[in-house]
Amino acid sequence: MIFVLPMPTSLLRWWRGSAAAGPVVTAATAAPAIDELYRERRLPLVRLAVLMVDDLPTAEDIVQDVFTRLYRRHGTGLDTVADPNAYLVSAVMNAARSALRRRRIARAYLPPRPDPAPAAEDEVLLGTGDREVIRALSRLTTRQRQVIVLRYWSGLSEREIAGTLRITAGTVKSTAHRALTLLRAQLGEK
Amino acid sequence: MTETDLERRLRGALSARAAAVTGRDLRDEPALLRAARRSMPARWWLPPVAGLAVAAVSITAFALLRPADPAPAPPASPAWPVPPASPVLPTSPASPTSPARPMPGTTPTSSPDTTPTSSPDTTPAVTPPAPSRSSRAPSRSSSTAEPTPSASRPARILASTPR
Repeated sequence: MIFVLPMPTSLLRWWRGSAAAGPVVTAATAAPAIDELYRERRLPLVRLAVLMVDDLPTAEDIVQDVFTRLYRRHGTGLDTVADPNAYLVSAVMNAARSALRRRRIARAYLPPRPDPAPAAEDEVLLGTGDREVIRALSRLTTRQRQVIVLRYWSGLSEREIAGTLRITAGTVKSTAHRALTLLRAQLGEK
Repeated sequence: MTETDLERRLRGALSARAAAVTGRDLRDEPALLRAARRSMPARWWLPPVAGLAVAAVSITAFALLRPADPAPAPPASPAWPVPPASPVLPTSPASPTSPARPMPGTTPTSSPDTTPTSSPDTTPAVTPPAPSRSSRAPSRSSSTAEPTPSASRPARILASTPR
């Protein structure tokens, strides 16, 4: 009787590495790519996610999930990704949108509860006018908020916003105009 | 409020909100690759290998500890032929086979001439009772083989006592 045991993946990886030195060298040089990207872009992406979901733990989870998915899909080397930064921003925006959708569904089925009180540091760092603006932003739709954040915080052009959100430039323009009209109405009443 | 003012307020508020999140507020930075690999079942081959090792150990132990010459199976029936059921009761003195019947299996190779049926005198433990009560009393050589005393014996003793 002959037992055919599949070779473990770690052994396969080791054998491949010892048999051919080329891919190993490439992988070794490309290995820090995602690590460096993670170290450089983690905080800005968390800030971007915070502007979307208003919740630091959720924002951290979103960014961590995005990087984990990126690693699983493309490995350590990001040669197949044309623009990793744009990819990450788009992924964070989509994940934030999914988180907001889940939160809205959960609020529809759970009894209402008071919103968590803002941290003391936020109260100190944010002035009264800034808090009003942030509160007015939270009343916008998810798409309008995405456009406003990408335009006025990330500094993206209309075409870049369209590419990131996978919508047309006309939709970006109309959405931004509608969002600014709503914000002006809310903030102008004060 | 002009649009320029609104845009300036928007930029200022978003920058202030984003600046409120610093690197110290974040969780400890985990190694991304370690965190990603931890969620993947990297050692899926461990249970099958463990099962194969246990099976190999079991088979080896069985092969080593198995007796080399298996013992013959015991006979299905005793070697001593059991005589057909006798109509006489075993306690009856007329049946000489009952008191001194050897235990089956103790002498499986003995010939039939050593059986109590052929020579009842060779068994000292068995003393057949006297056939008649008028003669002398039976010798009490063995209490186990003594038959049950009859009911007329105490009556004879009572009759001989003067009163």
